[in-house]
Amino acid sequence: MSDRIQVAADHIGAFHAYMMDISNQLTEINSYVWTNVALTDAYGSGLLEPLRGYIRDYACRPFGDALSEGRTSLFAARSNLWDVGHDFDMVDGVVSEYFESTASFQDE
Amino acid sequence: MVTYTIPTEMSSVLTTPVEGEIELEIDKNDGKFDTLNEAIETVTGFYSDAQSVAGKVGIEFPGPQVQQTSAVELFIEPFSGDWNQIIACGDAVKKAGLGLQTVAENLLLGMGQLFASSGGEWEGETAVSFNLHMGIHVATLQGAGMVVSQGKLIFDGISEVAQFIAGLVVELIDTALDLAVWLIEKIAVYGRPWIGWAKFVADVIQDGWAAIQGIIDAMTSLYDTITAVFDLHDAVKEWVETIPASLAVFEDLIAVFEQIPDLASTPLLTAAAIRNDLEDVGQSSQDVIDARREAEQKAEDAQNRLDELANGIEKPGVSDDIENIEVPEGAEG
Repeated sequence: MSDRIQVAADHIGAFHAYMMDISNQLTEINSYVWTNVALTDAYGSGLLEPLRGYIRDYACRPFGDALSEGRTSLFAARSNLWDVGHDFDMVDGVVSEYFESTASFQDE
Repeated sequence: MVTYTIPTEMSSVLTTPVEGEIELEIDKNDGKFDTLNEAIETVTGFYSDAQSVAGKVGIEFPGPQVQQTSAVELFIEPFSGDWNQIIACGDAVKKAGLGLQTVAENLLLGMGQLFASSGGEWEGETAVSFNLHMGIHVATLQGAGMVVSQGKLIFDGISEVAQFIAGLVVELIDTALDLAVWLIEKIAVYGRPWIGWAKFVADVIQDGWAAIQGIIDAMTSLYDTITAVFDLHDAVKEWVETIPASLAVFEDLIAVFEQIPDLASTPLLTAAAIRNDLEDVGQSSQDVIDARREAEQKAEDAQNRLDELANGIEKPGVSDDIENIEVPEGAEG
């Protein structure tokens, strides 16, 4: 059983790290939208100018907030996975290389 | 050490937004605006002088009083903007939506790897529950991506309305310029000191206002053109105020993401539960069963809500007030 738990722990550790990459991708998307949509000068300084503020406040900002919510939920799932990795060690004395490295989950 | 590699990086999806290729430029340094300014000045001066001369002989000049204004301030500055860049904004939003869908696929592929690469042995209640919980993330990201991609329509609509407005402005400029050139030439006859105004009085006394009816008509058309531009200013201002309502869908996305249950407060996974899975004990705690049901319901709710949001997105169109702006006739002959 120990070997199977070791394999499971290794892959849960890998997925824990993978979710961080996924979370970072959401940040990339938010940054992309902010740069290319919120900060554009496309609307000029005349009658269309208010659109810039509207799009920033009514589209880009709530979009960023939604992504932030998504990241928070992913973070919660990651925390749970970390607890599992930690518990494997407590229960079976088996832990993956990933969870042995405290540095790997100090990025929270 | 086992590592999972992201199958699709964002750099391959979030590429530089593509601008539109609309060729419709209004250059404020174009000499035509000097001509327009000259005409406006000439016509306002003519009106003032004609009114004064007519008053001296006890009659009233029937032409309209054209408001003194700057052609650039009237035609150019209010309509500044770059519709090709607005098209690029739409492309960026579409790519952001594709980005979210790609994140959903990446997450799904990672989950597949987790269960397949661990020997395909992690099966059971906990595995199913964890899969379902992560499935809410996948469904939400996938659906939100679809909604955001659809949001491109809003930017396309804004760009199309901006193009329509620009086309209208170009027509108004052309008409105003046509009238300006004609009026400058005709009014010049009466603009010479003494002789010009003597001719003006003689013509009007001999033939009545019909003698300068062409000038009066052209002045009226110029007045109507300038009035149409001011009306367009008002119509565009009102249209701009309708856009926040079109963007409400982005606000609604927050609520969908907020519905993802907080796994930290209702942990699905424990090492002991996974051990049970691996040992095929098959025990189902009530917590796991409840969490699984909740996950199934949440994923379905999120999917339905996101479908509604995507279907509800409408492209902003040209308002009636903008559409009803009429371009006056140019000068005759």
